[in-house]
Amino acid sequence: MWATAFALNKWLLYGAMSVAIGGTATILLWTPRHDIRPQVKAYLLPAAVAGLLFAATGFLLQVGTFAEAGLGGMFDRLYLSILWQSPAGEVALLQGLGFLTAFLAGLCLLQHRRRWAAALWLLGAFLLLLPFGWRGHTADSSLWLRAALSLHAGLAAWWMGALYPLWRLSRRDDPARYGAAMVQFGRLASWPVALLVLCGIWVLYSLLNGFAPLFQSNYGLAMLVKLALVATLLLLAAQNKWRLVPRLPATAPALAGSIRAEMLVGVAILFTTALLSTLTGPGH
Amino acid sequence: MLTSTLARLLVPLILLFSATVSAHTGLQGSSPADGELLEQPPVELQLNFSGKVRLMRVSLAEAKRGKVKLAFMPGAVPEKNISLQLPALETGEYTVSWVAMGGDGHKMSGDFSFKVTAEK
Repeated sequence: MWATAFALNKWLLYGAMSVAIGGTATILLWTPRHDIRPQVKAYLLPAAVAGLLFAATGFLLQVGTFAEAGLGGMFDRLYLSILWQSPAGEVALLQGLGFLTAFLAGLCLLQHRRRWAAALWLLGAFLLLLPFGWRGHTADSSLWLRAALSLHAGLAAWWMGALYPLWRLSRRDDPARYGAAMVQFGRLASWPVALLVLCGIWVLYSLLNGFAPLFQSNYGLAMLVKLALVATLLLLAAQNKWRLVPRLPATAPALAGSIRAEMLVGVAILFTTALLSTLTGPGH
Repeated sequence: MLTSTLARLLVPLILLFSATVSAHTGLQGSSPADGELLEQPPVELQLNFSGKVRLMRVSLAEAKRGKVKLAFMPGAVPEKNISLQLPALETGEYTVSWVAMGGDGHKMSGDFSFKVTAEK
């Protein structure tokens, strides 16, 4: 029960993290000036506050897991103290500071202080991504592998968080104007997406000691589900880049639908990732 | 339609994951060992893990008489080899259950049994 609750909380946390990293970056770079304030108020700030809550809830759920005293165990003083001094406490602190920084970046965007927003975004992203390589299944791996996992998580968050602002952009009345932003995003996204996939493959290969365990373990089978979803996402992205965006404005409704589909597949990928990193491990 | 398709996809996913457990660092050995028959009751319980862990819970229970009180307090410092003083044990079949946090932060747990065939 605790593990399932922790996995679901982690899923929501990944969502908030994606908004803090990818949403902020996309609004900074491509959102039209008049649409920034509504998106910051409806998307960035609520996600940063939700992220703070998910970080705190994740920590309390871990306290409850070890206290083994029902829901009240989440507030057991002895276990709160022990967990706070463990990697769980360090991760919660970093995540909390990361979401707080993302919130401040949103406030700067509201006041059109873009340089401050960009600096705070960078700091917030660093704080949020650091724990990925620090703990979990790669905690005992080399520094390079841990850095690759943090980079993989950062690029994934950037892509997932970018989808909602892009979807909003795709539904505007003037596709001729937003088409330029879409072309620029497609051009810029190619290398980060390639790097995202390469980092993912390397981390997976190292954790499993090869690709054969993909077909021989529960973890491998679950990972295959994630890989199938990632393949679907890549196909949708390729369709956007090479078929729909070049034919704008005629393909505007199809592009909006395709980005919406990308968002839904992205939500499923984050869900699978939360389960993979919580309920199972490479040893299974 | 896409939403409902995804929802149908997610349910079996949970079922696939629910059959798995988390265990990373593990218990490498113990004294008394699992299944050991002792003519003298042990005075100490030793748990040897494959990596440093934070031992969160240890309990000892005798098959007929139930729980045996142990002087154990969880600590924040991770250790690889952990020793606990045991009270005077009578003859019987004992089960040790433990819960620990691995170096990577994951929860792990396990249990093992030993028998004491003669009193001290």
